[in-house]
Amino acid sequence: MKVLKWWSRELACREAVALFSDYIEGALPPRRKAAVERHLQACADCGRYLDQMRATIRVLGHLEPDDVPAPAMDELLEVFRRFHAEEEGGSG
Amino acid sequence: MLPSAVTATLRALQPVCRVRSQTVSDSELVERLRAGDEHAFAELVSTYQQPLVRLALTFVPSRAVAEEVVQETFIGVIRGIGRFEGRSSLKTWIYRILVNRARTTGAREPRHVSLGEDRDGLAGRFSADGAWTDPPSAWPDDVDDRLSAPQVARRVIVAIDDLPGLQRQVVTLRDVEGLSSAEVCELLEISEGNQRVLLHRARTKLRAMFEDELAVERRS
Repeated sequence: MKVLKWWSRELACREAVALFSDYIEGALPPRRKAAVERHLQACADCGRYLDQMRATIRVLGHLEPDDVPAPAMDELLEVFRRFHAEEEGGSG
Repeated sequence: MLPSAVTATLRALQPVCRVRSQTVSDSELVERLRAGDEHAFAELVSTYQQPLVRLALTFVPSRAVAEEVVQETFIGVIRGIGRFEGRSSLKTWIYRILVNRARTTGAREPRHVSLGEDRDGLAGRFSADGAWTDPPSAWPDDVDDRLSAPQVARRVIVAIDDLPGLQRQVVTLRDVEGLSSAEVCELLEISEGNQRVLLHRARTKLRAMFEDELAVERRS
C-alpha cells in the first residue's frame, strides 16, 4: 500500500525537523513516530535540533513578564464587596 | 516515584503550569468566592493577573487596553461565578471570559492562519535531497540560564509579540502558560491539527531566534 509506505519510509532531515513539534506533543501516528525515532538514531544533527526545540519550550515555560503592573486590586475588591453586599441585600 | 529522566521528559512535553491556585481545588475556591470571601478573591486576582495580561496582549494593541480587558474579566468573574458549573477548569473558564472580552474590545489584526513566508531560520540550510548542509551548532550546557537572562527574556517577549496572531496566542497559551492542547483548541476555537501547525511554526521561529541570540553571544 502506497500510503503505508509513505508513512513508514525513511525521512530526510528537513522532513524530520518538520515533525519534531508534533513528536514532542506525542501527536504522531505510530509509524510516523517510529520513522522519526529511526532518523534520530542515525542523525546527530537532527538530535541536536530536537534538543534545541525542547530547550526552547523549557525557556518559554519559565518566561517572566517584563513589567506587569501592580493589580488594580483595591478597585476590584470594592466591586467584589459591592456585588456581595447587593446579593445579600437582594436575598435577605 | 518516577525516575528523573522521565519526569524531565514529562516536563518538556507538558510545561508546568505555574498558576498557584492549583494548590487549592477549583471547587473550594469557587465556594469561597461565592461566599464573598475577599481573601480568596484577592488570591485569585494575584494568581491570574499576570497570565491574563500576557494573554490579553496577544489580542489587543496596547498594554493599557490589555489591562482594561483584564479588569473587565475579573468583574466578569465576580458576576458570573454563581453560574460556573465546573464543566471546564476554573482557569479555562476565566481565560474564556478574557478571550471573549478581548475579541470584542478590538482586535489588533484579523484572525487568520498565516500562510506567508515564515522566518524559521531553516531557509537554505538543507540540500536538494533534504539533508542538512548547515546543521545547528551545539548550544552550551547552561543554555536555559543564558536564554532566561532578563535582557534575553525581553527580546523573547518581543519575538512572541511579532508572531502572527494565532501563532502568538497558541504559543503563549501552550508553552508560556502551560495549558493543554485541548484547552487551547477550545479557547481559540481552532482544530487540534490547526493548533499543532501553529505551535510548530511558532516554536520553530522562536528556536531560530534563540539560535541567533546564542550566535551573537559567541561572537561578542
